[in-house]
Amino acid sequence: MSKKLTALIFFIYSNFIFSQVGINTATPSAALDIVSKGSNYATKALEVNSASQELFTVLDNGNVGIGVSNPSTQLHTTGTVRMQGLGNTASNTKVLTADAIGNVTTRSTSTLLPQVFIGANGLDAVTTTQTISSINNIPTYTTGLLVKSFTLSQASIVTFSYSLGVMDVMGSSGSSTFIDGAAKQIGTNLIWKSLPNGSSFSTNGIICTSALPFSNIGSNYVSGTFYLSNSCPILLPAGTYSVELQGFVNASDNNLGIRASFGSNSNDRFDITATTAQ
Amino acid sequence: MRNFNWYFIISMINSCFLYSQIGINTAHPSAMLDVVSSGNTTKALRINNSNFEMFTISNNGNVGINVPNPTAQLHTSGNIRLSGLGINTINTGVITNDLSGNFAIRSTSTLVPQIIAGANGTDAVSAIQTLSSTSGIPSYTNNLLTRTFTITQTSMVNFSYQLGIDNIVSSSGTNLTDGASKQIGARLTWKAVPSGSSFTVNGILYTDAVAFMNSSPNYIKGFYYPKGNCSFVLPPGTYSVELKGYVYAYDNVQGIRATFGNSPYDRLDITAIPVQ
Repeated sequence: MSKKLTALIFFIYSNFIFSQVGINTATPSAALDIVSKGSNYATKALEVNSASQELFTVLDNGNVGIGVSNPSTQLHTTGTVRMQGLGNTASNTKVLTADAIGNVTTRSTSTLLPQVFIGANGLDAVTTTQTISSINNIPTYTTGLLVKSFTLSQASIVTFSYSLGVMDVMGSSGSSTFIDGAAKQIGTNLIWKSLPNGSSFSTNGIICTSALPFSNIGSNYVSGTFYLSNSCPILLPAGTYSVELQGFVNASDNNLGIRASFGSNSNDRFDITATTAQ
Repeated sequence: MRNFNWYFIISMINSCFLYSQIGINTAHPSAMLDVVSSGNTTKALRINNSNFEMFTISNNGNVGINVPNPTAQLHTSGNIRLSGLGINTINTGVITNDLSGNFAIRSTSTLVPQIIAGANGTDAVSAIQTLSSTSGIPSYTNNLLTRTFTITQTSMVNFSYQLGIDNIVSSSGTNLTDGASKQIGARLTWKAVPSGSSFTVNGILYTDAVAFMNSSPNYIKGFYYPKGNCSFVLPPGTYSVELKGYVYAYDNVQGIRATFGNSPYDRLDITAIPVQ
């Protein structure tokens, strides 16, 4: 009883002398200074009620509720929130997100917006050159001309885009008299080089492909450069992937055949971008 | 001691002695300080400095920080700092605000690219159609591949396709040996558009063609892949597109014949991003 009397005396004392009110403190450091007695979610430092409901709550553990009598987070609301006068930014990379029950956390824009994985720099993507030939309907492919690996931490829409230059198109023996009039083929495949376990795709499977027919019977002809290009989006689960850009030639005749060089020009492109699937 | 209020003091003393808790307008406080609005004013609590009202609790439950008449459950007028927030990589509800500062959740599905069709790296055309052309009359596949989609907001829609063509021979099925340049192609056309659309049914979104010529007994008859990639801003509505292969020969002797859809690598991928 004497303790409570002391508290009251302090209360009145401070009220008169400093115009400050302390509740459970003899030395208030604010106009109204409430010191809670407990430290958990079951007890309250402050509540403000209307005639019918609890409007505002400060638990002893520091959680504040607006319209929530037992707030479960530092600030817990149940209705509309209006924040007028927020600043604008063009550079912040964290957005606020809410889960299904309203818990607010941040999410990096890198998990929301398209990201560059490979290339997308306008530079030559293939710095080596490979020359391959084909005859008698046996296609020939470049080997390891351009291989790129990337790791997705989340399921993503991955867009592949390539342009591969082919030049010096001539007979398989290197003859420049490529004059048999037979339609031969120069092409590119984008293939899976390695895949995460359990992938629905298989190694060496084709992602996208393109090919041109090439035939000539004139003594003077343009033997390069042609660009085989393609672009395709694919939804991929998380994991580490490796893809190979592969050039190929194919001739059905067994006389002149075809030969061509891949990668020697400076405008080869290979770009991979990805956006997390939402 | 301006605003001296005997009731306040009495209830304060009362609760102080009995519960060591303070009640304002209540004899049974359930917190260290328990304020029950009298209902005589519109506010249950105000905190002021000498210049302005810093903190307000209205009787309707709205709380204002530097907003004396809050219009939302929490209404502030300046910068907000929420330090120590967790980080996630999956939540699809983005908190956005309007010009008045009202917060609302916006789904990432209305903010970032969405797959409308395909984009699965698998064969998009399971049927096969063979076409022939002679005498300058082109010939087109019919309903080889149609995709229908609905967008609920104006969106930037990206179409990407490749269509495999093989068995390139003369219109009668013999080897093509006349040395005439003929055409094999694939185009994406509008099959249905919403009423009032600026596009017309059968209009072309994108088209691509390859020149094919042979004069030798032995030649490569396939696969060739006419392809396309294009973006359109489209108003909301239901759209249908058809991927059409075609052949075209000018001569009236050998002509051209080719098969569409035989390749396991046919693709038609449609993605969309709502226009912001």
